[in-house]
Amino acid sequence: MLDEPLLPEGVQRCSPARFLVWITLLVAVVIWGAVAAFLIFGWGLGVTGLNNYFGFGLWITFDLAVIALGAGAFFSGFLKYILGIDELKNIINLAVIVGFLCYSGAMMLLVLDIGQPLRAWFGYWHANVHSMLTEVIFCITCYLIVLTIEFIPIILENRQIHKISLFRNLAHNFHIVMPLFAAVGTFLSFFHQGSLGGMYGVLFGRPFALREGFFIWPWTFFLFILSAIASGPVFTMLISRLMESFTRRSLVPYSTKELLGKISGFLLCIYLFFKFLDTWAWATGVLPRSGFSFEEMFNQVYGQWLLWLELGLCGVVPAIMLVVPTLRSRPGLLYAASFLTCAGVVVNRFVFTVQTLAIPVMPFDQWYTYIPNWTEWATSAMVVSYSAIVVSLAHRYLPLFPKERQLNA
Amino acid sequence: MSSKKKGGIMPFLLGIAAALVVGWIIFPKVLYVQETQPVRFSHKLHMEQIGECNLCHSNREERAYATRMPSTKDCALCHYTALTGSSEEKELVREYIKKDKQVPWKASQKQPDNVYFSHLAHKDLECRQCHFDMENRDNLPPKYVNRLTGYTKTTMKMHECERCHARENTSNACYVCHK
Amino acid sequence: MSESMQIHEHFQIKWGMVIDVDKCTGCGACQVACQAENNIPPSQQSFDRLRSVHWLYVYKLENGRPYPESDIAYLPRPCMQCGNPSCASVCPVIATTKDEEGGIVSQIYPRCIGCRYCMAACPYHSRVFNWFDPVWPKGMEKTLTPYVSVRPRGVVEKCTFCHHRFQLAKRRARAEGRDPHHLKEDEYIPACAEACPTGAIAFGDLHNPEHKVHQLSRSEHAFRILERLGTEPQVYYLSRRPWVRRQGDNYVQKDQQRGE
Repeated sequence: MLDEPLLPEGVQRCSPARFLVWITLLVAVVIWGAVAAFLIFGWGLGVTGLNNYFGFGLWITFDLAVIALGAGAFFSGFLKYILGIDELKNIINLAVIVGFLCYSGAMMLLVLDIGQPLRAWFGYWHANVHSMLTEVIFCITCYLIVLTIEFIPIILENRQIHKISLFRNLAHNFHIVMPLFAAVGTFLSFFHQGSLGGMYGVLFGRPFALREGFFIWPWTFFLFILSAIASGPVFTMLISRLMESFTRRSLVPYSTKELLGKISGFLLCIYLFFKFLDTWAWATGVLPRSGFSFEEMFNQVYGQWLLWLELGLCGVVPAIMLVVPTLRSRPGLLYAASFLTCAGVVVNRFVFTVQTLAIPVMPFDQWYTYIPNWTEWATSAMVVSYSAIVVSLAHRYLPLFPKERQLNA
Repeated sequence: MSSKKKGGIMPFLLGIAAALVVGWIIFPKVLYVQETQPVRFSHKLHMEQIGECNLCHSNREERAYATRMPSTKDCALCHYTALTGSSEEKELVREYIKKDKQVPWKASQKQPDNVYFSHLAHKDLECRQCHFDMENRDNLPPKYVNRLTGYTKTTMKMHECERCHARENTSNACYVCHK
Repeated sequence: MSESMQIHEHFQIKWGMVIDVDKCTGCGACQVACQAENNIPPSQQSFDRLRSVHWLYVYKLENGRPYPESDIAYLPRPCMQCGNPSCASVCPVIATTKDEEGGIVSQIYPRCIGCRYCMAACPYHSRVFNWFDPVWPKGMEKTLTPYVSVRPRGVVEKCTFCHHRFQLAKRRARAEGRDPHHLKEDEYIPACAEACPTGAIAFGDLHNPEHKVHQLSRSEHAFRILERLGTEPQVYYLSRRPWVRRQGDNYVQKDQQRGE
């Protein structure tokens, strides 16, 4: 193989030609997204499907979803480095990369999403400390830096780079301080996951999103943290499963996957307990106080089925599948449950973003339906594709999975 | 590491010095484009002759509180024909006053479009508190325009307005000055 | 609503509007006057209210009854200049505040980063986004109001109660040696109130008993939109028709008697 010296020792990878074809496909998608991005920067956000009613749309849903799912990075780091669950070393590298991609991808879309990207730094310079969004801006940018720092030593593990003593020493020093960054990451991540939820909970003009709270934090603050840490670990695990099916090799021991499933399952149970409580308090407290009935929150498009999908099929069902050992020990069920968990979080972020805005609050107003157009899909696909490129390169050239050789021996 | 033996601390110091030169001298030069005034003008001389700002800088709406550049008509009150032998004055008379053409003075303290400023509200202040002692200047300051923002270098900055408002116990609400 | 969300600031002056819905014929003169006064460019998308830039929008209300009981009303909706604005506290960059005497919620375009969080926060849809760069047909740029800043694409804007007219009124008062904080009735009124042919829009200081809005806002027929959410609007509406007043807010079955 042409790039043989760059590959990790003792592992098999597909031929460079095949890899090149795969990467070319992904690059094509990136180009499609880049064309859309060019149109957006050139002509303005008018070329998207967003409008005055739906100022937030696919991009914000996508951002919130990947940031929630990317919580696998900080939470696995927290479990491994702070709580000392050593089993997770089998997947921690991937968790960091997935986290990095989720956050950097979200950042790319945010640059497109805000009307004046050149003023993005105002979030720091002219910060409004009362805004949940300020806190989000602070934490996700800081956390992206932490994730970058965590990503660097993984890159330095490449066989050729590792031969250089400077980089070898650097990687070693990075590993020593990693628990510190894991702790910083945990702190930052906790706060912005919460603030993303808080962003919606404080909207007292929008009864669908409005929540009571504790001190300055509405309940959505805590619910977003819980749902993120419940879905993050299984999302990382699903990515590893996806990589296994693409490469037709075992990468992560099933015991590790099961452990992640178990962790997610229990967290999902805790989350759902509070989520049901919150939904009940909202339906019987916030809504009638604002003059709304539960039924008025839904229409034919944004129906109650979304709520039951989120809480039932993508909530209670996977929670049971993940906490019952006999169910989670069967790979098919474990992966299905993991997928449902992630889907549930996506639905949750979607309804908070889009349904909140679709509901007419003024009695003489009407329901509107939001349909993203191709520019939004293309740029979102670009981010997914960019992530796939980075994961493919990382898998090919970096020793991500310590057990890979053993599992495929 | 080998670099220590090679150059010691010198490359580091040179680098800092170069960065400082670029940052303090070259960059500001590149950032601002300098525009010179069309006609030489001495505020000092005119103050000695006239003794007040409002005669030339008055504004009807602001009830005699200086807000504008003088028009050619204001100049023509005295300079209908050349009063001195100066070539600059002759040019003024020939090129602007006789042709009744406005002198394109370059305002170097113009506020941007989003700011509303009323001289009337600030009538208790001395002109020189904001207009850098213009009355004692023998020439007009050149106008420096920021290539990126289009603002002039000597435009009063928001923090300067805010500082004085805070000191005077005046509101610093956005809409006090912005539009 | 938790305490932290509320802005408790008390102003000497509280600019307010009282719109008599029963007098409004839905002619749209207020909307046109607003567009012209506030440098809102004509646009290809102006028929699409989800995309067009408008500071004031006239809603059509219907009582939903069959003929002969059917009835309609028109309701002009400017920015409510809420006493407790849902938009100001959420802005990450302090581009919108409620801090000036008079209580008008400011919007500073060069500060706005265009995140649209304020639009998500406002239940009145008073805020609109500049989806494209403004384009004035050739020659029309000469009609721009010099006291109103024009906006680039990518920023949010909203009704300011023609705030520049407040600035000019203050200047006039200063020039005449009067206190700029005690303006007379109608010395400062927004373009919409000035343009309304039926006099449906009254404007003035809600705190000042000499201004007619002071009385009007205390009328038994007065209501505000979505009062139950706690936004404390500074825009009041008047209607002698109970069904119109009832459409000012949301009511569930058990508070049937409210709003009648």
